[in-house]
Amino acid sequence: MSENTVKLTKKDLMGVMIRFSFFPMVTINYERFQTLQYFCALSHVLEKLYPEKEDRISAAKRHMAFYNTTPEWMSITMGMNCAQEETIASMEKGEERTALEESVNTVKASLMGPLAGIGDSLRATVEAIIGALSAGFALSGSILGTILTLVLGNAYYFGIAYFGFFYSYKNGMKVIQDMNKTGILDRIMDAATILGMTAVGALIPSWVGFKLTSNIAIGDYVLNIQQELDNIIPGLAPLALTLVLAMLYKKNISSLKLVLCIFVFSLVISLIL
Amino acid sequence: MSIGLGYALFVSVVCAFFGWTNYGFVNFQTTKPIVCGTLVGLILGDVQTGIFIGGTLTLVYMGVQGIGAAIPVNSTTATTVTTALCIITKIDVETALALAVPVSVMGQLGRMAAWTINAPIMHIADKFAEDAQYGKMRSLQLLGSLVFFITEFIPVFLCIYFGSSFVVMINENMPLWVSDWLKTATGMLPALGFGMLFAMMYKPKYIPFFVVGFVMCAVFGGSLLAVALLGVAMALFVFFYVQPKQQRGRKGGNA
Repeated sequence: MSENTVKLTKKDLMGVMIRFSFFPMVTINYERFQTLQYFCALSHVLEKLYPEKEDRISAAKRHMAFYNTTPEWMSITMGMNCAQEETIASMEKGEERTALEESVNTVKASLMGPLAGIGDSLRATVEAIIGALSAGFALSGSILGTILTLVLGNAYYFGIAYFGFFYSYKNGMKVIQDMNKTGILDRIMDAATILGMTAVGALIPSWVGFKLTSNIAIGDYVLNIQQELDNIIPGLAPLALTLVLAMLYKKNISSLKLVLCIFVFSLVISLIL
Repeated sequence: MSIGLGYALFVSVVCAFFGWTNYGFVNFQTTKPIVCGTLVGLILGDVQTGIFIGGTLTLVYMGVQGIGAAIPVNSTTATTVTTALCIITKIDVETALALAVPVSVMGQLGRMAAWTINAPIMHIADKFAEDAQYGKMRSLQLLGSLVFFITEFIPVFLCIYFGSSFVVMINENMPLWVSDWLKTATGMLPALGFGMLFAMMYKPKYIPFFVVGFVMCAVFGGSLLAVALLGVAMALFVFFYVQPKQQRGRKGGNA
């Protein structure tokens, strides 16, 4: 079969790299987030690999499964998926091919969470540093700050997108093939999730603004709710709010409904407290 | 102090463009206050004001960034509108900077609207996928991009055309409970982002690391970088020293 000879060229791969890094969020929405953009970035490669309509349909359905992560770190799963799809296209139909097709979504689903946890917090830190440097120049009237943000910000974003993509493309199949033998994907996911979880825990107290500022007077005794909460553990209210939202999200309540819940809840809080 | 409709449209397109790059177009850091402030200043003929407002708002919006599913206040639109109003209506910089907060919330609500309007696109895309119509699926991107432009443009145009007096009017006539409400809501929204990340990564065995990260920052006031390094150390420890359990499913599938 001629399918056996289809290989992705450097140009194909650059195409994927440019598409996902330039347009990661054009159709982002509250239902499936970056899903369609992920598919669109891969679509030209899929067309090249699968001339048969039937294969194209199953590939499109495969990549319309939920996906969302930090844009520049999309590169990691994108590179692995390119390597996987290339191998799938060269295989005869059968059990082994079906297993590999399933592993495409295993890679996406298991890595997007930790990648977002690490990616969002790393970006927050890096951009704060760049911003502080640049603002210093800007406030003294120099255009150097603008240039600094442009150069460093783009270097960070496109650096991770480019090197992450090509690195994971080159090493992707090795990881997949070793997956069943050594459980390497699980170990990578473990390590990445540990870092992601630590970062998310660390960011909550400073990033979630949820303070109960008012005092409640009970006779002569004035109860300052926030102070009482801080005496138990600082940051307890943001933590509780985050965990409740996480629980609701786990129960398949859509993020749009949760946004509405937050607006209702914050109205209640701001009215009574 | 009012400006012509044609000029207002032109300025609004310029201002909305930068906010649009965040989702709807290529983002070469053009959403950063310092960059879009400078560029709007350049186009409207007063670079110094643009740089100054951009630099100031960079510090104001330090650390404002989308987390997971949470859309942050729109610092880009706040910067472009503030800069433009400052230059074309000749109000002083302090007055202009006070406009940033209401404008950023208007821009944020616009983006939330876009995220909602774009949701049905997924169902159209699913239909096209059934038929392997890749070209049509790709062209849906234009639709999504257009939605983002319109939702950026509307709040910007209102502010530019009706001028600073409009923003001031909204800001001053807004009942106290509404501004309190919006402030509380924007403070809480990041919790949804973190909640979503938490839910995506959640397994009981990862809870200890979450607790360590939280306690180090909330109780001991550790810097983010220091706690992240601790996280790297723990991740490497587990990767190299903890042996994976033998005997796992053949497909290694989990979600």
